[in-house]
Amino acid sequence: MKNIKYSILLLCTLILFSCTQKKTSNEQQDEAKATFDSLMQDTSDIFDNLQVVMHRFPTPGEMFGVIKEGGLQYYDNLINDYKKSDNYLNTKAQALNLGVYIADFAYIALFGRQNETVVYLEAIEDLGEKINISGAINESLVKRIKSNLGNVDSLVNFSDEAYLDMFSYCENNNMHPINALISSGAYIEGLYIALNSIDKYSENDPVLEQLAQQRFTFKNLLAYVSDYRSDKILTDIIIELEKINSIFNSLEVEKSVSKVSSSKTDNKLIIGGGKKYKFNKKQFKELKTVTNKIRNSITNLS
Amino acid sequence: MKLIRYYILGTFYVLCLFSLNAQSLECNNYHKRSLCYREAYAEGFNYYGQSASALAEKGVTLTYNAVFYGGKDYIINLCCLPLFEPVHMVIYDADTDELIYDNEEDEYLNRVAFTMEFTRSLLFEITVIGDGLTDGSLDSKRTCVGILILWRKVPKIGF
Repeated sequence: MKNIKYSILLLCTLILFSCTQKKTSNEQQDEAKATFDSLMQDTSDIFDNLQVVMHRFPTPGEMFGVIKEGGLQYYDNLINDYKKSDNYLNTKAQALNLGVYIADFAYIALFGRQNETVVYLEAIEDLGEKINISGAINESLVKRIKSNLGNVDSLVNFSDEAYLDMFSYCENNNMHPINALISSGAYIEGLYIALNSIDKYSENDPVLEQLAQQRFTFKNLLAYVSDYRSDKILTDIIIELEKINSIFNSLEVEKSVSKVSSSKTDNKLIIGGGKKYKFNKKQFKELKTVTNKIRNSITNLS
Repeated sequence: MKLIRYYILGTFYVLCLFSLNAQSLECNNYHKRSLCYREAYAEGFNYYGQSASALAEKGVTLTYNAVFYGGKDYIINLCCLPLFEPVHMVIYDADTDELIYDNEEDEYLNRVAFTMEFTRSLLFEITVIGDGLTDGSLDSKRTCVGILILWRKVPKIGF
């Protein structure tokens, strides 16, 4: 983006200074007006060029909430030890593991684990400070979380709010690659927890059914991260996300209706049809192996 | 004299860029402001994290891609300053490019409620039409536009 701005500015400067012939006062006025119009058109063109597709995806809390509807259980051995937050020394490790702890926090909140909530919140604050996004962590939100530890619904909402505040802060401060790392860490952790909560493959496992629908989330996440692929800090994580995405892309379609049907009942659309995806045993095992490897490489970073 | 004029123009141009950036920041969380939220509120629905806001310009289409889980009811509320209404919204399936809904058919309704059978990635094309706008500066053609999304699990029907 900066490069585009600088290039256009340089181009305009060259155009402005290329006009060196002496002209009459009227000619100069006309020229100035034409230049002015042209510059305004340039700003309008820049605005047009900014119209790229904005990709968004559910919060880790929303993703867990949907998977929980399928029967997701709580296992405390699946979350990353909060004491490891001091081990992460460089920006990449800190941002990725901040995402991991955000997902852990959402998982803990969803199951109302009061004791773990505060220490994981502190790990998030600590890593947020280290990567200079402490401004995103609202002090009043932290206070509200600490005073609502017994209220599961509030904790879930607070965990979403914390993630969205952080996402929004990074977006507004041109910290997109950091945002991409945090989001990648969060979704890989979410996937890791969900996959490892399933001991044995069963074709009709409702958790696995909900997990299969996360292919859309990962597709959007990859699209978002790929928008900033020119930043080398993202090279490795894009490779890893592509591995996960290719497994999701290979899922079988369980139910497919070729035509989208939109009917109106009580001023409401019913968006029917579409596709329902499912894992076979091989895809499940493959995704679990790949995800575990990626997740452990993230949490063991230093 | 000529040089001074060019410098003034150059400065003005740079200021335009800064102004564009500042305007974008002003739109941050526009969908959470009272106008949008009050109109969209519905009992039993929760805020969906993929709600968004952006700076829009009359006639320029913004494209937004979000994931909608199956088995859920959703309400989408579009908001901007009344002068910039109506807002044209077209929804496509992001995977198949199939047209799902065009609010032009419903006189540019700014509130759409729907039930999603299966999870889909949807692509929204949002264009501020601004019938009430007269010709003026570029700044006067720009506004914040918000997409507030609310959701809930489809309630069980029956006794």
